Amino acid sequence: MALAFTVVLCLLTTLMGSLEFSVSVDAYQQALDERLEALNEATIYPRVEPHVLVPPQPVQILARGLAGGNGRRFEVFVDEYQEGSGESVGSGEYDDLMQTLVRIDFSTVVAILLSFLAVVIGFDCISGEREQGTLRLLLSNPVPRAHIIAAKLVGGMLSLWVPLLLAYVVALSILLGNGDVQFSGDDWLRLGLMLALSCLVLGLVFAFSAMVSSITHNSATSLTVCLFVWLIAGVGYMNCLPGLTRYGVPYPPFWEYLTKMREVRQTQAGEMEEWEARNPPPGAAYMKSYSAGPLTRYSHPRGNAWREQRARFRFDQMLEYADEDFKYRTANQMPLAQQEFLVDKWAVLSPLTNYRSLMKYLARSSLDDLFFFSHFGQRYRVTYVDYLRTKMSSASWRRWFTDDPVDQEPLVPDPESVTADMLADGSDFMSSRAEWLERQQELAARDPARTLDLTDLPKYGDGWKRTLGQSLTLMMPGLIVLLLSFSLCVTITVLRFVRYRFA
Amino acid sequence: MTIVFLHQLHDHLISLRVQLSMIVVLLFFVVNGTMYSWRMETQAQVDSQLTADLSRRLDGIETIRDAVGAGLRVANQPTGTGFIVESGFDRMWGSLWFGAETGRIPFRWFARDVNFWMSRFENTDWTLIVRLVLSFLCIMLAYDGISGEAQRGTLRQVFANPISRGRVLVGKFAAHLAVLLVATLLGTVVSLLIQTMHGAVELNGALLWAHLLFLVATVVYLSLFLFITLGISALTRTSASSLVLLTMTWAVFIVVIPQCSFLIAMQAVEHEEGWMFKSYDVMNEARETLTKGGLALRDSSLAGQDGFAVERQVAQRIEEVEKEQMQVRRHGFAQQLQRYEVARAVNLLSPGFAFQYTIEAMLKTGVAKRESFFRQALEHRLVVREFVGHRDAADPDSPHVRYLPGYMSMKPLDGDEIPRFQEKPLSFAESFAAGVMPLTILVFEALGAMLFALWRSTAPTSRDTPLPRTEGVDGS
Repeated sequence: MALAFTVVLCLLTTLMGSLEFSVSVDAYQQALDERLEALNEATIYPRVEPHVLVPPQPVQILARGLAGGNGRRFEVFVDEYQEGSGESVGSGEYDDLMQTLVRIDFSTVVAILLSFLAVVIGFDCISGEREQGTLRLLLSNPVPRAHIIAAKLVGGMLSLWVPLLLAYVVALSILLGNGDVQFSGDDWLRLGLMLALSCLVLGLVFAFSAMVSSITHNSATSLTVCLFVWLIAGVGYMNCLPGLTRYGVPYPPFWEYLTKMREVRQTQAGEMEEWEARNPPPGAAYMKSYSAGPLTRYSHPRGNAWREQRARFRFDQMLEYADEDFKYRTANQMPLAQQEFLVDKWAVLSPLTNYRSLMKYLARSSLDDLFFFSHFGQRYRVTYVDYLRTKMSSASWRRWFTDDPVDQEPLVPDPESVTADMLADGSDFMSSRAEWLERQQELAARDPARTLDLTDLPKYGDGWKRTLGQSLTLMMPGLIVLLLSFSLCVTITVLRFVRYRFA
Repeated sequence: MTIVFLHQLHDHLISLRVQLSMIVVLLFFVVNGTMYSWRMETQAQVDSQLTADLSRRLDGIETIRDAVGAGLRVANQPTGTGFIVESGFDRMWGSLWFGAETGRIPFRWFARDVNFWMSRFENTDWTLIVRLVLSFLCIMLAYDGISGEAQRGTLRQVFANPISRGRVLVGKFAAHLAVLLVATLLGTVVSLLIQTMHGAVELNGALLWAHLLFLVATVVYLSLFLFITLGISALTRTSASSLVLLTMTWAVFIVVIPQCSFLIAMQAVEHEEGWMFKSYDVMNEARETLTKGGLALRDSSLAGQDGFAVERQVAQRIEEVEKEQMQVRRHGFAQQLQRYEVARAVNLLSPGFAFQYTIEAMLKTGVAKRESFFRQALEHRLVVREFVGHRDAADPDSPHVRYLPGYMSMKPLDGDEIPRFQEKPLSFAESFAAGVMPLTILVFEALGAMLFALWRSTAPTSRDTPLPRTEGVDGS
């Protein structure tokens, strides 16, 4: 009964996870289209937003972790870049109400339900036989005791692994039935390791129960001890650990961050004023233009020359701002991230939490993997900024703010001859020029020469995910603890059994 | 009945199970007390920063114009009983930024310790301890309440006494409940003691009342589990199968169903993402259209020549767009709430969440408090607008272009005169509306469980003849 129940549960969770995955794939596709469209339509460099976008990972359906089978985006701008772990692309990400709910996945089913089954199978495997008197019978056979206990342990574990394998196959076949799910070779290796890890943790729980059963006097005590350990190590530790790490870390200096950035903005504005005082712009008639956000059109060449100077100065300011912003934001966010890192770090104390965090590492859905991704994004931003610099120095800074061709007729063709009255809003001169501007805008909208040539824009490739080797290195401490505790439990059980004497 | 009660109580006090249970419960409550002591410290620190920030902003206000243009912030009021039930909302958006200026509609912002990386974890509050741990302990204590005695053969002796079977059941039930309640009471008192020592809570009448409500709800919830456990224990042949059946039931109702609610609600309700961004786009587009249409705000002296005609037009247009924006948001928010309600309905299938939502409603927190806070904050913006509008109207020199700060009165105004926000707790009607459904479900489930247990224990079964001793696990 318990077996059928576990299989059904795996089926349901995977089915729901798979449906949600399809939604995430759609969201990712849409984000990708938007990115491409933005790149195609960009006519000046500040409008180019070469965000790093990565697709949802199907392996994460089995161990949702923080990535939860969603795609991710790392936003790349000159004056700002994302701190922390990038941004999730998928469903329900901005819904904070839904974020209060806990979600289930395959690793939860194993950690809570199958581990309980392991306790139930293991708690009386020795004490039960002793109580029923069959142990005496068993030991009177001319078979070495070591063989008997080995057979008992292997048999018990197999009766756990078979339902697990069944549940796993069901889960995988559901995933394979979804057309959006495509596993790479690396993914298959990870899936295999996930199964092995699940087998190991169930074996450990079983071996632990058998150990308790070999030590205690009767099955009732053995059951009580096993279930209390299960309660504390599973449900209890799983729920208390996040709370404890949450408050074991100092509160982030968020207000300091806001104050610091206000100061940086003020300083930069002061510097800019100073620069403009040293390099006064040509008269208002030269500067007269059409502007929308960072885009400026139909300015006089002298106005443009001044703007180029200013853009070069501003570019450095922006880079500096981004670095400062990143520095303070990281200082602000690291305590928050630290809470989650501590959860993964201390998870090692209980096999069930340890198992869940190892599964997250295998699925690359831990916070550590998200940070790996965002470090990749930061490196890509550096590449992109270098690319911008070469572009600007080889062509000119002109392309930073305007897409006008070099021979573009300005809004005010002969600035020397116009008077201040003519430049005022609503004057006859300006009205006639406004009509001209509208015609020009129509022409510009149809002009393909204005779009940027981004064929040599650096590609970000696929270095954003950990290789299996890197993931395994990360998992090493947890794995060693699991293996050691497994062998410890088995050794103690075997020793107790072999040296058992009847009273 | 008293004899059965005392006998069972005696059995309990010498058993390993009860001693372990007591230790586990105490352990959880100690963690709870320690955690929330830390938390209150940071909360006090952040709250003082919040107040300081608001004062700084209000100090900067010198004229009516400044008051219109100022960015203000209102934060929600912690219930003070977060350690009893918190429900995860405290770590979500808890404050609103807004201004009286037209077009400056509120946006949600952090209040205290928001950490989205940690949002998938629940807090170890009292409700969680009772919901998960104590319900499991009910099963642990009582799973062999009847089948165990049947296996050991002592049930026969009990039934040989001139006590009705119903009374035997009630006596056993009362003994189990007494033990668990003592554990809970002890735990909660320890948690309160730890927090009092840290100065995190103040013991007063309100807290006592909250504590009492919590204990009453706990009694109902634990009765439900004890009755189910005793009933199933009478139903099954052996204690071991009773335990497996019970724990599976527990796992499904307490762990699995609540964890599925997210995925089910996501699939069940179609939801448009990004409505928050859309609401900003509406305003940006409108502003762009205004600029293109030549309706740009002018210098005050220039605009005065035609009686601020353009500015009035702009203000009126933005006011309209603001309504549109709020419409987009209300729609998005309603959808979001609808989806959450589905998740809540799924959760209500679990008695654990019937219990959780009952406590939330009783202590005036949960999603209802959150909704009420946002509603009150939006109303507060209107209050501030009315206040500055009123002061502006009193100044004959002002252009009265409401609410564009550049074209309003320049008369001095002390920032401290601006009405302050004070969140009102949920009214009785609101909390009743939120709590009536879960409470009804919880009570009916408990009654149903009682009837089930009574029916099972009084029904004549083969249980009266003791089973062979070798079949049991408790037979030693």
